[in-house]
Amino acid sequence: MGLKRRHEAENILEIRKLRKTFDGVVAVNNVSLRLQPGTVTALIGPNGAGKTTLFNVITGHLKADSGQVVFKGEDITNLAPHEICRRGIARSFQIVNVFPRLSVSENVLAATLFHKKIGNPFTRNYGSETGYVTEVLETVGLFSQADLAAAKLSYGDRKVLDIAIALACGPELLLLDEPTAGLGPEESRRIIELIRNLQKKQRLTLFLVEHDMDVVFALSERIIVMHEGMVIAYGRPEEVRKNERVRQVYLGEEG
Amino acid sequence: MNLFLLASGLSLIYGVLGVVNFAHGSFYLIGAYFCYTCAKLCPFWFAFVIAPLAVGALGIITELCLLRKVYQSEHIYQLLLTWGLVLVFGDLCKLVWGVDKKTLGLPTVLAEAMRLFGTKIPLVQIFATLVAAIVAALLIIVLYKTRIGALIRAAAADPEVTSALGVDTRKVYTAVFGVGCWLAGLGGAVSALLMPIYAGSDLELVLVAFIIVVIGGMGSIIGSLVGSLITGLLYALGILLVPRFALAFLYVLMVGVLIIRPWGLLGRPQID
Amino acid sequence: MTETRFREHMASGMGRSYSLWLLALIIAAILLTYLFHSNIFVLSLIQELAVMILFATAYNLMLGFSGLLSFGHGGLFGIGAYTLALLMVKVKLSALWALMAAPLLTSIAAWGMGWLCLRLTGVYFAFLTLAFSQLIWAVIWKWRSLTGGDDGIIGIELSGAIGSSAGLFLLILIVVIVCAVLIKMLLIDSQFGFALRLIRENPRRARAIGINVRGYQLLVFCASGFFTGIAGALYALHSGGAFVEYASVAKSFEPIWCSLVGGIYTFVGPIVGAALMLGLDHFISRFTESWALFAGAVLIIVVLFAPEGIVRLAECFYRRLFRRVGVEKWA
Repeated sequence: MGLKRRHEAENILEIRKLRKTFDGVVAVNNVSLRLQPGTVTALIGPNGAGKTTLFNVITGHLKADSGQVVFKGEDITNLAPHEICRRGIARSFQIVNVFPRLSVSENVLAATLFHKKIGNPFTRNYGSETGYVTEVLETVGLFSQADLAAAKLSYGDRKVLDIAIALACGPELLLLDEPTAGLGPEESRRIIELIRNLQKKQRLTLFLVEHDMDVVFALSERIIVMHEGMVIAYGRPEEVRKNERVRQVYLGEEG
Repeated sequence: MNLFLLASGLSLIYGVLGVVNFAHGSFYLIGAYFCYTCAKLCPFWFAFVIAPLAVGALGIITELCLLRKVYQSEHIYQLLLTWGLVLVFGDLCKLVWGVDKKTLGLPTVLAEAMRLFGTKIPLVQIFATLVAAIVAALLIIVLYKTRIGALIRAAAADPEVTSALGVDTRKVYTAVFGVGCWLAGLGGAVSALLMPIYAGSDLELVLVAFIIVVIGGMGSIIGSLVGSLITGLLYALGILLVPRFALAFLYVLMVGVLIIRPWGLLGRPQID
Repeated sequence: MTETRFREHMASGMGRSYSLWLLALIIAAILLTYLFHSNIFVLSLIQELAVMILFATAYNLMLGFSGLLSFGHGGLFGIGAYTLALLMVKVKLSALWALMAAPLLTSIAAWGMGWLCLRLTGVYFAFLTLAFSQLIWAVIWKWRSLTGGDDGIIGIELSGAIGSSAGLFLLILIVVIVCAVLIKMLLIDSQFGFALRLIRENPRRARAIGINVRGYQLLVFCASGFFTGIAGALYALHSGGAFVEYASVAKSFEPIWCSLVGGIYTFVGPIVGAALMLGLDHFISRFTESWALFAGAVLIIVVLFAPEGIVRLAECFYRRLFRRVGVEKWA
């Protein structure tokens, strides 16, 4: 019993036999996986494989039909999204999801203030948070645009802001849903750099959904492949690259 | 049963345009008033046919000039626009027709009563029910069995795809709104036969129509049919059980339905 | 963009002189009382305006700041009015106690209403609040033994300091002023208000950064109900009774009109809207009965051409006129 517990605590995130159905279509079909702390794991698979659905269930935006999501040993299945954020999981969104009319700094301030238990709800003084917000903005390179309304940023900058908001939540596990989607090569490189720095500096565990294979192979230590709601491969990039089933799924799609 | 006509128009407009037309009761009232005035100037049956058409035309004008502009806005602005219409139409009616009750003179054909199942039922009521039933049947046939109906249902389900297929969804919206208002006008004309017309009934009626549409299902014509029957029955039940609070009883039901099954008995869940 | 400017920007919201405003407004109220203490007509007018200002401001907490369109505040207003009237007429409670009880009861009703209605969003939420408000109205109307039904409750007697019309006037003004300042300070400018605006802008993102959206919405419903209850109670004091119309659909729409026309994204919007509504109402009523026609037309025009309201329009105009390049003002 003691040994099992220790083993569980080693995995920062564990998903056990998770299942989610929509209107008769099984989007996530008995998925089980484990993430080690401090690693970068990529989740890949053709469209409709269930990747974003999996993210949504992990972060509480969708309810699982059955199965468990265990974070740092605690069962967080079906908790509300704000509870999950409080426990240390943050995410960015596939389609950029920020607060458009707020300034960049206010976007980040929002995450800074609310990801933890609130002290005084009537406070009007945010002086103590300024330093942290500055830090986050500098980390992602948006400090020079701190006063701009988020809607006025370029698409790439908004994607970075989305990640910055997630970062400002001070998470231990960061879920990034297609961070380079819709970006040109230069902006993608910028995001890759950012992710690399994050992993090095902050000992975050990163879990990415990605379609861009260059990004995937450049960044990840482990790759999970999903197809039609199920995990069909898991391992180091070189292993996955050689996996027959994976090639079938991808080549089959292209063919 | 004339409430079915009102509710079905409301349901249709919501189902296709996604707009909740607060002013629907106003169109109903205008239909009643038009019928009343026309009947003074021309033969009754002529008035009975013209009045709803006039209301439908009014609806089309309203849609073209005003409603169209807020399709892209948030829902609250659509609601508030139609609320503004309620105020405007309501007062216009008061200006033109005054605040006293108006009674429509019945044509001699309908003034009699008929013996049916042992009780005397006024012919007007039979007529009213007949009209509603025919219209219901027509609506269902057109919507589900004709190409135009399929077009309308397609535009309701997915306007983007439908317009990509070459259909001018804007014309569909205008037409549907016109038909919805025509239904309201017809309901008003029918109700003018059954009871006196009075100012202020527009708001009461649209609220009852909401109850019907909520219970039967937003966007479903058959739902409005079922809804109006059920609402009628439940109101009668309410009068039996809690006579003074029958109206409150209806509201409790509406609250209940909205909580347990917000899309009503026969509607489809709306993705907000 | 220097670091110091950024710091200033972040620390804004601090040090807004609420106590100064409070003092200034109360002094203004006392001055008004002194000036008009014998002119019942003006007193009555300003009282009505004050109540409407509070009602609209309390309502706009939901519409403008939280993005929740409620049609149910008429019912809450009615509960506030009837609570005060019942307590003062039937239980012979003093105005002070009744004024404290009314908002408490109303906020409990608002809590119940919110708990049920917030399970749905958008149009369905609006409907549910309408149904609830109608329910309250129907119950008030039909429960003759308690509420007097169609006749309402009359006979509120005022004694002591507020027995005079000037005294009542000052009381109403001061209550409204204090409430308005409290709303601005505690609910709009605060972290709570920040959360509300985040929820309004993007509820999904708000959830994902740790905001309990439903909890905040429930709280703002309650707070809005609390102050609406005070407004209703004050109105009952003002008119000397409580009547069924105080809980009607028409009542529900008054603060909506005020907030929309004035400007839902600002604090002063509803205040301007209230002044406009009452001003126009009294002005138009001299010539014609058709106030609703006018109000409806204005509503339609605002929705089509100036959905952010008059205050925003004026701001834009002002900026264009003087070609000021100001910092983009975030509501």
